[in-house]
Amino acid sequence: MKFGVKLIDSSNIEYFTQIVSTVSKLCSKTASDKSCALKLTPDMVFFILPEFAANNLGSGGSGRTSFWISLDPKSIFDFYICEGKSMDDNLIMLEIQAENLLRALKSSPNMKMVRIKLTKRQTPCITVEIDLHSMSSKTSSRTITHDIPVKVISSSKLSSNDFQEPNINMTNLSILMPPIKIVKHMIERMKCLSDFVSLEASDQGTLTFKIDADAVSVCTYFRNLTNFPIHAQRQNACEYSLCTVRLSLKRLSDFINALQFQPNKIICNFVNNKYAHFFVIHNEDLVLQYLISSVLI
Amino acid sequence: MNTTLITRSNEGEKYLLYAKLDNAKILYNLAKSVNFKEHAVFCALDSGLKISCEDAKSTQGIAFVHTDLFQEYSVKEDCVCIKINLSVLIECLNIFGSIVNSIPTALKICYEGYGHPLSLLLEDNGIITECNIKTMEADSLVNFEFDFDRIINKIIIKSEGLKEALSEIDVSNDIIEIVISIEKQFLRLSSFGLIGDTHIDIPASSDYIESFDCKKTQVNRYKVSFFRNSLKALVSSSKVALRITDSGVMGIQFLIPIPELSKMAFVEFYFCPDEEIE
Repeated sequence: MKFGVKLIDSSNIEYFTQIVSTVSKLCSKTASDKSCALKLTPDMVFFILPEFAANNLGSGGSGRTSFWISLDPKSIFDFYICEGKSMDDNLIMLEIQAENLLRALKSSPNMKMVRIKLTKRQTPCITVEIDLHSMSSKTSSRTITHDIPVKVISSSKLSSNDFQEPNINMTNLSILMPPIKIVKHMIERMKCLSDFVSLEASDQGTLTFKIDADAVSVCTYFRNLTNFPIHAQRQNACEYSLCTVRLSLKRLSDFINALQFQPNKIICNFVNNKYAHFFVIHNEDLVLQYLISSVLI
Repeated sequence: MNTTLITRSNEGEKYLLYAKLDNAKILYNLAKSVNFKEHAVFCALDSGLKISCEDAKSTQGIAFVHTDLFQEYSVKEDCVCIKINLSVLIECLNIFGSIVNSIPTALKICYEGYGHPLSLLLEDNGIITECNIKTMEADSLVNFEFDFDRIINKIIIKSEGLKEALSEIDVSNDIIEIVISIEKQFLRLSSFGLIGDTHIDIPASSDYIESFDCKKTQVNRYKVSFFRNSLKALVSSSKVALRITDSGVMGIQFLIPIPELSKMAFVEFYFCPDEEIE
């Protein structure tokens, strides 16, 4: 098993740090032990938190959430290599604490180069080596090494259903979300007034956020949004003209606030009264999928 | 442009109170300046909106939004008074936040009458928010008997001066002493803390003092918390008028500039002295 990453460009280092920061924030809000899966293949890198791991009943729990992030290593890293155990089994599956990886990436300013690789110390580790710019021409550059313990998830222990990409077969309606800045601010205000928000989307490009609390009821109407067609060939597919989900404002706010990079667009796939499936897309290199389940009244 | 006439539009006909404001931030800032308690009495008068907040019947904060700050304003009865959750009103007014360099959020206020909610309609760039705030019966407010004929001392001071003076006050004690002296011609703010006494003297000749009208020397003590309630108003004001009656009742009036309309608004605070010292 071999895995190696090099980050030389400072904007790449910053971007990857933002991604890990997002993963870390999402893990801290949804995973009970703050860890997630890191799946490495020759073509793609994934951060995955499956639903069964995200059963968050303890903290005001209303609805299960999970996330799936896919990254294109060719555009994010300056160098990337990944080899699994064998040709048939050409992937590496690890369980990692994203917080530790983030701490390593943020440990120093003036990073010249970051190297990440899989090593075996006492236990399997992800080793992050950071070369710093020298302070003056006289001193040579220094290297800081972080060893982050990880667990290797053996493929023999995985079933074909584990860590699969969330499916979109149940989608009833798909709509482009309004600008994230406006939604973020509005959700923060609504969070002060109520615990839950109803999102109602139509195939006419409208999206309504409704809260109904003791002291006040508030409705925000967004119009002229783009709807995306759903492929109607699937068995379970049923295109609705109007879809509603009722989400916990805390969960929605945690999700939006976790995003540490500027997305190009966010698409929401609605499964009527069941869950909201968000697609956060950044350039061509990152797709973050996040599910928030709907709560009955 | 804006006139002081009360206009009636066709839409406003069915409402007891109907008002339109091109910039919701104006009402937001004024409402925030008296939000030291969660609930407030919201009164629609012929002359404008009055938001009154009261704490334990011992202090009152009143923000007044005159009709000439509105693009449209109509009220069908002399005085329509309701009690609302002021914190909720403020969250609603701020639903879109403030994005610099963009067209301000427009606001429409509608109230049908007893039993109906207070409706706010906010619009920003094609996005519309509708808020319906539950209303309650207005409590009667304390009458401070602030008799304008019985004002003994009146000082008009620039806000920066009062801001600076209040920031020096020792917070370990909850009492502030205000002395206005005719012999020494100054305004003195004193606090008596654990480490010692602090006195801040502002002479009548100071650049900060615009007018010093003293009829008799007065020494009064007030709760520091009453001044603290008015800090938001102080920060957005340009000038402050301190008026004290012969029984030591303090009436502070803040002049708040509204640059978007080149107009002014007033916020007032009233409270009684803690002990009377002659």
